Amino acid sequence: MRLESFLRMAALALALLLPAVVSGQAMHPVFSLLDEQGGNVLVTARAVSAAKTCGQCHDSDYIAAHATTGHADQMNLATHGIERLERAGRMNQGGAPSSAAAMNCFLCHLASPNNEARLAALAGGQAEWSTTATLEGSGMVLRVSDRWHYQRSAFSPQGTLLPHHAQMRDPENHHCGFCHGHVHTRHDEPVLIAAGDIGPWSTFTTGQVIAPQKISESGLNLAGKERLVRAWDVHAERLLDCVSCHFSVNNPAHQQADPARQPGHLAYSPRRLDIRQYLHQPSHILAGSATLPAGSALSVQTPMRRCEGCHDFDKAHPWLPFKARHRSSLTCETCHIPQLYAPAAATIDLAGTGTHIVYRGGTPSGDVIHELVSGYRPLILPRRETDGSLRLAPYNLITTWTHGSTETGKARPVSAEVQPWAIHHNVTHGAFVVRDCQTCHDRHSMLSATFFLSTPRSGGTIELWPESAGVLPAGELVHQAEGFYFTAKPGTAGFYILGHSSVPWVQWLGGVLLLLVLAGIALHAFLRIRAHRHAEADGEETRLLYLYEPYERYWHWLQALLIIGLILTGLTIHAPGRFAWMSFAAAVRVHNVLAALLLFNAFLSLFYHFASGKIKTYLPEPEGFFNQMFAQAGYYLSGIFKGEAHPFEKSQHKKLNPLQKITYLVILNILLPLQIITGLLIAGAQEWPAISRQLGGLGFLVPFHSLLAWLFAAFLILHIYLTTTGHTPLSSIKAMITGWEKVPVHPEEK
Amino acid sequence: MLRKKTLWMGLALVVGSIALPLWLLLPHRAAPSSDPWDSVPVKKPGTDHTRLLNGPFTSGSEVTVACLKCHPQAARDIMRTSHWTWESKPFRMANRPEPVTLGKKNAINNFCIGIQSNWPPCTACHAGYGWHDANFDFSNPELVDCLVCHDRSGQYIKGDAGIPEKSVDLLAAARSVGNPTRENCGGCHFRGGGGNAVKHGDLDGSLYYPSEEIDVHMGRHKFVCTDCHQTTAHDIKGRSFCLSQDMAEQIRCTDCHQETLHKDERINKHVNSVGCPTCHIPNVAVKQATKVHWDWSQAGQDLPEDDHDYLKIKGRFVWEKNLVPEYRWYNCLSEHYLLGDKIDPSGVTELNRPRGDIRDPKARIMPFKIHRAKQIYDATYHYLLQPNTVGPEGFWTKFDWDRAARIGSEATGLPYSGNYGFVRTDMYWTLTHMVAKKEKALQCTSCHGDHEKRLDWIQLGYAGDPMTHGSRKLNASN
Repeated sequence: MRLESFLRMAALALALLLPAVVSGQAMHPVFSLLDEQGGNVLVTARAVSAAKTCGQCHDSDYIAAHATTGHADQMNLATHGIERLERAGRMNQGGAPSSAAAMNCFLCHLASPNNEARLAALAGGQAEWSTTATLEGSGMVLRVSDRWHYQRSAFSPQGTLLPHHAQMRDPENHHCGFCHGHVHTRHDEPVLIAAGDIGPWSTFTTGQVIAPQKISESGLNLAGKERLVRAWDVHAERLLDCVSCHFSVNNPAHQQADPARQPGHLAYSPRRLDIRQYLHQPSHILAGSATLPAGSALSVQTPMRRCEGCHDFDKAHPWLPFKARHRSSLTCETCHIPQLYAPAAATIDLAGTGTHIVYRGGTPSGDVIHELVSGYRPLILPRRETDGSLRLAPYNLITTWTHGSTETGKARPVSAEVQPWAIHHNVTHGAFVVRDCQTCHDRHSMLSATFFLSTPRSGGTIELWPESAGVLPAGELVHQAEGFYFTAKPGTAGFYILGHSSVPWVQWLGGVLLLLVLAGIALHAFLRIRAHRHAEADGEETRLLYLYEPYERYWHWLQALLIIGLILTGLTIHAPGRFAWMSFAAAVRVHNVLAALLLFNAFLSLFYHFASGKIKTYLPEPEGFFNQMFAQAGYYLSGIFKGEAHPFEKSQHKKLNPLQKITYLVILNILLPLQIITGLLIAGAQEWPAISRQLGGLGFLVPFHSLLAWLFAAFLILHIYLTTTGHTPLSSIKAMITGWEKVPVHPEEK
Repeated sequence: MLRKKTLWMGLALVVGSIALPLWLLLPHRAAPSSDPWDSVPVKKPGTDHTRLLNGPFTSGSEVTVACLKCHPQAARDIMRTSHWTWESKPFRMANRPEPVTLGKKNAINNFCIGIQSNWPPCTACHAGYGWHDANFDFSNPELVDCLVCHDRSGQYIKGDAGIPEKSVDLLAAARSVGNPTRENCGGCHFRGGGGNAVKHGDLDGSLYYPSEEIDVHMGRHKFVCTDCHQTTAHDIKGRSFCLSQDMAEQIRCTDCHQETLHKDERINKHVNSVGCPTCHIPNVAVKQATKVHWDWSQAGQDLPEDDHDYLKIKGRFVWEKNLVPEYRWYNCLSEHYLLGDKIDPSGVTELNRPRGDIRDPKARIMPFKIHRAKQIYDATYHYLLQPNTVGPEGFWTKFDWDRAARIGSEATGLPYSGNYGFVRTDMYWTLTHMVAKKEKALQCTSCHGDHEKRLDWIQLGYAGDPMTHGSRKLNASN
């Protein structure tokens, strides 16, 4: 009796003391381990039932009904190795994995659960003991050959666990890591990853590793490792847990109200479960998991806190031009997960003898490592977001070769399915992210990478995933001697990427037009020179005529320089690799400023011409205009070679000949405004995306803008050539500089 | 017609109309922030003294006399500095009625304890010649040792009382003089406490030719000591944490580096509470172990001897390599144990506790090496004793603590009851050298979370990890 009361005192003292000892976590009250019938396992010596044990306080039925379905499936399959791969094959083919036994609370809530013992129990056909096996090695359960025994020393005389054994906790990264990926929290041990270990699933499928350690400190044989002074995962580095984002959806600390169901005037809704209610009925639906392969049971959409939930895009990217445009076209991961370093599967071959896996990043499939591994750059694919928009996001593609439908006695055909695997982790920042515009805005763009799928397989057919998956197979399969590849073509999903995308016929048309103009000029000039040699127009009397006011000259030359600048920078924007006199980013900025100046200049001159009445010089006189035009054309086509005089004399009020008038009318009233409008709409895809989209989107606007640019270039050349048709080749240009033009004196003036 | 000048003006107008808006509207790259190299002195090449000095020199003082012929002010300069005086100017200290002068001359530490009555081997590192006992003439400029800092012949070695060893070629040493090298400084400062790497932890012989893994300044950027410890009139900047009582000579990282230079705002927010060395000196004694524990009470026994474990004359030691620092709040000043201060023999006496706590706005969390020792004290009067170890009657010869305490006390003038014991003492060493390259600086998980737990948040005065509990709240009026 005395002993018992002493023990009770000691237990009480321990219970009081332990909270201080085991930091703030030791709050869980003591409990008994119960079996399926609700009997204390110490008495019945039967297997522990997590549902009954935890159900003493928590609503087990509620938890079972509110669990991410995949969790129950994934965690309880006694699958290891090949079985799991076959399941991957099935998942690739859209089949749902089979479901199995109920969840096991201890696996995620005990500080150090024994997952290996649990899997062994499942594999050994002792599924009902798998929960008990999870407690192996904790001091509560001892395994002797095939049987599990409860260790009395872990229990109080009342049959409850001693307080330090009863400490349940929030899942930490290593719990999630049992199934989801390689998790590494130790600072004193380098990260080591064995290719071929498919246990950590996300690491196997994508190369994602959850570790705060710098990659340079890891044990991987990575090329250039010493420069990789970045953490494997910045969020792990910054001490975020898996559950920071993948929280229980009714956890009052994280719960997010669905904005669609909120009154618009509320920014925050304080109505939520209190902690008592939550602990009674904690939802085990975890936020996230929206982008796993469709068709699998995992594509549950839950309100996860996404990148934008914590990060302010605009404040984080002060340097980035066209923020809204980038934001609406790209996921954060596209730039912030530029490279994965752990070996990820590229090909799973289940059709040969045995299973053969090819990894990305130069990891050889054999046991011997011959060279440094490099990791791989994810493939960027368009993804249909929940709001219906398309954004580019990083993926790994896994090609699984299997035998097709079995027909007994016949050779089974070999076929492969390609499945995209989304990449959301291993985010980095600073110098390691994609910051160089030309990574995407160039002919060789990250967005149109060619991605290895599989080594060749004779007679094998390969099939891309269906569009319904939410990830568009925007690209094409490429069969090469070395194997199968996938080349991304974001253009097929409607993405037009400046500097990368191009409409070939527009460029051909523009180029041909320009060449025709050049050829015409060459012929004309040749004929002129020949004619000139024959008939020396000598000693003709001239006089000086004041043609251009200072403002007209200023406006002209400003416009000339601006247009030349716009064409030059436009070339760089169109093909930054070929016209690399400045970077893409600088070209865009300069182009925009020059365009604004052009617009400004055009308005000023319009005002000037109206106010001064000089607008009249541009207006064709209706009477006999066509005849005059023909006369002028006739002069250029024949008279000029014969040394005839210009059909129309220049004067202060008649500076322009009829052809000029009609040309300038077209240029200034059609070409220039169109160019300005299309330019504004291209830039406006940032501010008014809806308007730009309605008017054809970038896919129409940009090629149209460049076609007009070709016309401008052609005009420019023709215009410069025709200035040489004055009294002397340079007299017209001189006039535009000085204002005074030398013109021949007509006989009647003498 | 237009004149040429007008044409040029027109051209300028047109070009300017484009260039000006471009210049105004395009983003400008931020002007490069201050370059840390601007603060690194460019040293003039020294004068070749080979032809200027002919000797012969039979003593160090003769060399000094020769130096003073051309550098008449040099000795006077040195004689004002602590390299010569081994003590400070009188300072007012908190809770002490009288101004205090403190220096190697009269301080007590928990290595060889004190120099009084033990002068000759200790004063081998004095920048002078002949400090054998209390009667050394501190006013004689001819006793200044110029060579200890300026010798570049590599064979100048000082023995007892700072007298050059017999083997030294004084003429060669004198002819070699130049700017101080790592060897000049390291000869004493890397060997504090009686041998290489004993005392500091962040200063040892590995810094003679360090790789960048040991010290980024000296390894990657080839710094010498005087690049940071810059000198005016022979007064070398820098202060001893154990002895200095003001901030006048403090060298700061921010003398060269901007405080908020990290590209990560989150890290920049740390500088209000965390000193640079905390993250940038993750470990000290990187290559050579340093002494972290010294138990004098076990000295005098006839046990197997080993420099790194047990010596009969000194007792038992513990050394540690790649030492992980301990962290304390520190406002760059420290308390000082002075001879005669009462102690609590049942507890640990801290000889130089860093000042500052979580409420002190000037204090930041800084890394320390803490040297823990057991040393002799007066069991009746309850203060530390400074024993005589050196010499024919010293402990190292006679192994008699009572006699050693008696002789030492005669030198210090502090009464000795005849009753002695051993008491735990701690001594703090600031860590400012062995700065790691930036790639090796601490990461978040080094201090936050359950991973490495370098900082004991509760001990530092936080309610818990400030990552989750919030950072310290300082009263704005402070």
